[in-house]
Amino acid sequence: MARATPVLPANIAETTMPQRRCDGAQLRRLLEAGQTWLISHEEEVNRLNVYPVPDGDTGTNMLLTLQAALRELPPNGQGAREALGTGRVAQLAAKGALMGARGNSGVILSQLLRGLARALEGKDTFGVEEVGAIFREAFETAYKAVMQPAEGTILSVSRALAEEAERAAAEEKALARVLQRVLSAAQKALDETPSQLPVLRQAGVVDAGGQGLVVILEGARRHLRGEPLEYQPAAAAPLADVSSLEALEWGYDTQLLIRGRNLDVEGIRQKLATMGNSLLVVGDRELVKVHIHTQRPGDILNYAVGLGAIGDVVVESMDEQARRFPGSEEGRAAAAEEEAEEPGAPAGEEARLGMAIVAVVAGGGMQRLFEELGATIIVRGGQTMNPSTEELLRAVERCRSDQVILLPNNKNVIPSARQVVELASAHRVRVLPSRTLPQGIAALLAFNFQADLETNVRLMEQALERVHSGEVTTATRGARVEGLDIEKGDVLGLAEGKIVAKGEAVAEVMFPLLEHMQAGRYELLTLYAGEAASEEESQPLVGEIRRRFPGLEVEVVSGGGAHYHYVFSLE
Amino acid sequence: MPRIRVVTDSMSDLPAELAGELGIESIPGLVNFGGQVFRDRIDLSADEFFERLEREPRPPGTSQSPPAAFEEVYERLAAGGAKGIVSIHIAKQLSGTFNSAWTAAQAFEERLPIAVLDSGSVAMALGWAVVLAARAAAEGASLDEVAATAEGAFPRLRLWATLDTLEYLRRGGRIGAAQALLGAVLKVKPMITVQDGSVQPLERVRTRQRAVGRLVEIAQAEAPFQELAILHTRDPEGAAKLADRLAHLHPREKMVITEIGPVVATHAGPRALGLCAVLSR
Repeated sequence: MARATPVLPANIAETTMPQRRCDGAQLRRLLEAGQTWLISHEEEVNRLNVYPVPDGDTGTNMLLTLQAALRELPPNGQGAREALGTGRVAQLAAKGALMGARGNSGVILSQLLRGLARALEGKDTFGVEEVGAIFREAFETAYKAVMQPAEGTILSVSRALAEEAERAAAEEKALARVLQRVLSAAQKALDETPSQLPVLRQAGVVDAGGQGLVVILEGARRHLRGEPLEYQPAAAAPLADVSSLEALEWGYDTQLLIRGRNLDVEGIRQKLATMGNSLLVVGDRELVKVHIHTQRPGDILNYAVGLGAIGDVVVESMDEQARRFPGSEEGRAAAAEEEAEEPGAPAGEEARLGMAIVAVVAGGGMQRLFEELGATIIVRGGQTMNPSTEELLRAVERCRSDQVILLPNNKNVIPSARQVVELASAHRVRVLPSRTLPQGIAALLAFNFQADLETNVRLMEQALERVHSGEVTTATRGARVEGLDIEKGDVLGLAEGKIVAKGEAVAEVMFPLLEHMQAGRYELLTLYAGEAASEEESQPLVGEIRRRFPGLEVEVVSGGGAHYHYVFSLE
Repeated sequence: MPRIRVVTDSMSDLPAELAGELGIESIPGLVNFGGQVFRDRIDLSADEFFERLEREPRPPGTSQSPPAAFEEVYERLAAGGAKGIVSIHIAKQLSGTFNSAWTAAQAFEERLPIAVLDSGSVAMALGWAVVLAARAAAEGASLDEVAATAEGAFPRLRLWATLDTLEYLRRGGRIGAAQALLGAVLKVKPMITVQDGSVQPLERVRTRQRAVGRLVEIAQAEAPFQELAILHTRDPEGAAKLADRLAHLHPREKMVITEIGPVVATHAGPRALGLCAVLSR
């Protein structure tokens, strides 16, 4: 036989020297492998979002958070580069993640990395026996950071993997084995999430954040075991990372070892010469070392794994821009441009009051409304685009006054907003947990111009609890939620974020929704007409609302977001 | 009649019977309506004012009484045997009334001591300072003592009110910092306070019910009160209900309910409701 039967990647740990310690460069490669794997699974994780209305996408949020973590590390140049220890790598990544954290899962991921940094503080390398304590610290840090930890989420997955890490670290000799066991435990915990959270069970999916974490770990495990990081999804959809790799000028510095029997060094060299440049192939019939610059590192790995067991895989981007993975990010680029144009905080009113208000608003009419009501700085974001901790922090830092009230106006933005509190060193920041735009407006209106920060926080909190919000929107995906079978395109009525009515037309949904919310008991209905609501539609609708609820004053304001027919408040 | 007499202006919105009881003289501000000038509460009652407000195409304006109006009153009091006058007025920043009084007082320099005081407030908050001073005078206090009583009350005067709109304040140029409450997109009911002689923004609420609720909450936070009044435009029932809701904070029978007169209403607009208090400390 000219060539050995390919060794199954799962067995690689037994065919190579088991790796027992991890240094800074290795830790970095593990994180990068997690990132690479998450890029190719981003959409898959996004699809696990159980709600049929547009929502901050978990896969995207976690990926953006992880990318922010890795951006914090110094560029991977060739040549002279100070070798960073694991402690320093983890510390920088944790800092980057903290700043880049988006959405709930992104924030938890950033806290896991923070725990990792704590556990590795001052350590240049760590051994397999320490892995248990490291994962334990990561889990506990994340757990403590969440106000109301729930089972059936990324946290239960983190707990399961920490527990298994402690057992495995005591029993195993190789890092790859520990990681394998940790991953299996995480996957098992993930599979249990539907039985822990009814909303997941109804939708028939696992928790998206937990899945994201498993994907990252899987990437790291694959790297340790030398398995390819190029992912072929079941459906032949183009890969996010492939499109971005092709756009790179310099591509990837790819290195690996191939172990096998009767390896044909010259044949390998000739084949690889067609796949890249700066090629170096050295070795003998049992062990070949490959070094190549290529646009498609996955092709190299796929080829190599057909020859034997691969190991010590290093895939590094040579183009610093590549770290930002430009593919599929048009929206984010546009958002970045808008940010660049943001003016400084207006001076007058803020200086007089001695405090500033930062509000997260999607833009358009709502932005004008928030500005008119006295928001000092608007951060663009909301339902589908959750701003990062860093964006919120930057906005806070642009405020001239050292006391800042932050209005997230979306449940997915609240976690990153909370992180700003301790990051903002020069500002005293208070986050009001406004989950909807009408709540944010109610809070803003309740702002008392004569009172101090703490009194205002109290008044505004009371105000946002008093206002009752509803939404009429269109389902962007099918789902079974709260006992309703929802198809894409259905008009949905949400009371306080919960779906309570569905139908084919706005009017068909609006009235059951108002009845459900007992609109007749209130004084004032403010309807914020979104982009999906037309004037011709609004007028008869408002007329009918007035007819059905004669005691209710109705005010129509244009300014609802892109995804809504109407957002409204009852008070 | 006491030897020391107390004078104020109609912007104190003192109920006539209370003024009469304590011998308080009130000099009317002026309302210009459709080319005619009316003396506040004399030529134009609140009823007539609001009736006219709906009818007149152009909004009303206000102006201070001329010094002569003050001189006339001071003269009359002097002739009646007064040994001194304490003349307490609407905040300088809100009206020229204080200046007219001051100018008039100069003419009496030799004959009669007159203390002209800027209350820094308006409406029944000013009214309370006047009432306290008049009570002191009735008990036989000296000019200095009566003036000191009023001045001692000034820092404790409070006025909180909800307005239907800021339009009237804006038009009359009295909006000051309360313009922060102005909004075009969303209808809000502005809540204001008068502080250090100027109208200041307090909060915005969406509904009248909420505005009344806030007034109650504010009162709870600021109690106890030495004096408390409810002021309103065209809403005696609402004012009475508000008074009932505050009965646990201040004896209901001691509260005064007073309707805002034409001059103040020109700036406050219809459907104003508020509290005028003297804090206990």
